[in-house]
Amino acid sequence: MNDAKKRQDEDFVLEARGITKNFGGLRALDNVDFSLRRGEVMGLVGDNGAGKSTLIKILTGVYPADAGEILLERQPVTLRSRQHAKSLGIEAVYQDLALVDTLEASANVFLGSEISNPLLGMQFLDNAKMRTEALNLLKNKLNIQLGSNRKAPVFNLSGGQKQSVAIGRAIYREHIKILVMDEPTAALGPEETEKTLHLIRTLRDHGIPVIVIAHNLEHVFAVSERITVLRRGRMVGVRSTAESSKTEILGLIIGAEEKEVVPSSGKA
Amino acid sequence: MNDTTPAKSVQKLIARLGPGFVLIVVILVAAFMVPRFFTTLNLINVLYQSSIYIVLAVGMTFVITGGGIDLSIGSQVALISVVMSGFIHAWGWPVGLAMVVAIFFGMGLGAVNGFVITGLRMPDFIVTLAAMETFRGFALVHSAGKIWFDFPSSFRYIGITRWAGLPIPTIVALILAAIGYYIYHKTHFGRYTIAVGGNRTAAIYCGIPVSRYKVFQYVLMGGLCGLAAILITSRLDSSQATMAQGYEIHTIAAVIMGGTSLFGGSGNVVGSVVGALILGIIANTMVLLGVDYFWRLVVTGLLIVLAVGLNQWRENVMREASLEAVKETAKESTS
Repeated sequence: MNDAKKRQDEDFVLEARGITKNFGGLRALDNVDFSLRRGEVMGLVGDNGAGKSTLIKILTGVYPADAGEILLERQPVTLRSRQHAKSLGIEAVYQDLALVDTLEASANVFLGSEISNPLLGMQFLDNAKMRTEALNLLKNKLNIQLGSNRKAPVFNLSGGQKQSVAIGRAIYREHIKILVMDEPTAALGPEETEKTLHLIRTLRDHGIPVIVIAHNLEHVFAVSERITVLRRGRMVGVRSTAESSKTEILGLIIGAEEKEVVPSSGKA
Repeated sequence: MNDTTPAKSVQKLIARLGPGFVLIVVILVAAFMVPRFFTTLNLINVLYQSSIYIVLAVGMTFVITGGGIDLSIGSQVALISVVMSGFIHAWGWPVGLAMVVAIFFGMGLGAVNGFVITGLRMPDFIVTLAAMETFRGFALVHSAGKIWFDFPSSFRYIGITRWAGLPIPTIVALILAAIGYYIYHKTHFGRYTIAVGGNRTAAIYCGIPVSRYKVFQYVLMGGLCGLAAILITSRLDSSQATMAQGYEIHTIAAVIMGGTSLFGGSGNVVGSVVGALILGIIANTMVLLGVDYFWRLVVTGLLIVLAVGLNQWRENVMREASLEAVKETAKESTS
């Protein structure tokens, strides 16, 4: 009961309860709880096949869950599709960044929702305005300046700049409530990784809660407030980053402390 | 990274000029070999002969940028031409109506290509290769070996009249190129064509209806085949099912020479016009030199390979330059 009381006090942007998902005979997620508070970065970790991607796909509307409920700002929602989730303010930046390499940064930020002006009954793109707005967005919200690469095709940009363009596309709409980042540091060198982690902290400082999926615990500890650990489709622990250690999280990931956390199921 | 040798600078300059460089070289060679090349009459003649390739190359720029290719355009031009000739000669349609229907008919042929490609999820190359054969077949069936000629003067007017010193087909082609340039850079259609060809997954993720845009690209190409059919039929004052063979090769070559990537995602409408002019000048020069038709084919083919090779080399140089730029940026951000 105390637990329920506590939950009410906390400012949850997103809550998922009892999420279960089967693929054929395989149970990918088993009764998983997940929560995200306003203004926090939540790390989501787990071994390959632990169910991270499945959970994220359910939370971003890619798959429906077989059981369980999702609350967005305390209201129960059914995410019908990726587009529907987007319209509710759940944005995602994928590992492959999903940028069009041959277009410039601003064209990528506005891809699919270009600014245009009517002329003679037709719509003409306002490239200058999109450029100004995109560069302002990157500068003000992400502290990123493209410098001489303002007009260059995205393949000329560094990894960190590309990352910022991908994030820019996700956050430029005012109604964004949650940003999901799938392995944001996976393809980056040390320099660019530092920049990306900084980007994530900047986002949080602007009040955008972020879910970060990462393999690298170092990176997760560097940016997150809390960490959720999945193992074999189950949620095996949520820890406050400041009060936990890499050893503890690693233990949860590989199951060394399994007996303490959940009753052993012995299921493969 | 700033230790660029003079040779490298020249490389980069040539790469940046791209098709413009080839055009200059071709003009210089032509002027050197044929004194008559630089007469107003001959230059207008080159523009006149290139105008049909310019019209087709503008459409092909969109198709190739979108990650496709249309091998059926020569057959489309022939089929539209004989059908339109049938309207005018056999059915006695007014010229204006026949021309409008010709363009819509072309858009219909393009739509067939587009729907088969997107609906059956077949490769553009295979579908349009099959269409090349099928449309040519329909043209032969329709005309049954007939050659249409002696068109009404109102129709021939288009092909033979000059306004302000320029042939109407040239004026049409240049206006069209300007419109194409604007569509490419300033409209959703242009932007989404680049996106679909550049990164289909990203386009889908951003909610762009990729199949619809693919169909639009082929419809545009078909409509321009209709326009090209009008221009060529009017100019030659004749129409037959075997006309316009090899148009697809010339048009694709012009587009690739102009700097459009065969792999999709980036293109250059102005470059395509330049590419069409390059081929026009080469053809013109060989005619003036009295090169035998068969040999002209051989030389044209070899020059196409050369020019496309040059373009690929150019892309490599540009890519190297951009990689250097990335390193520079990384350095800047470190300091």
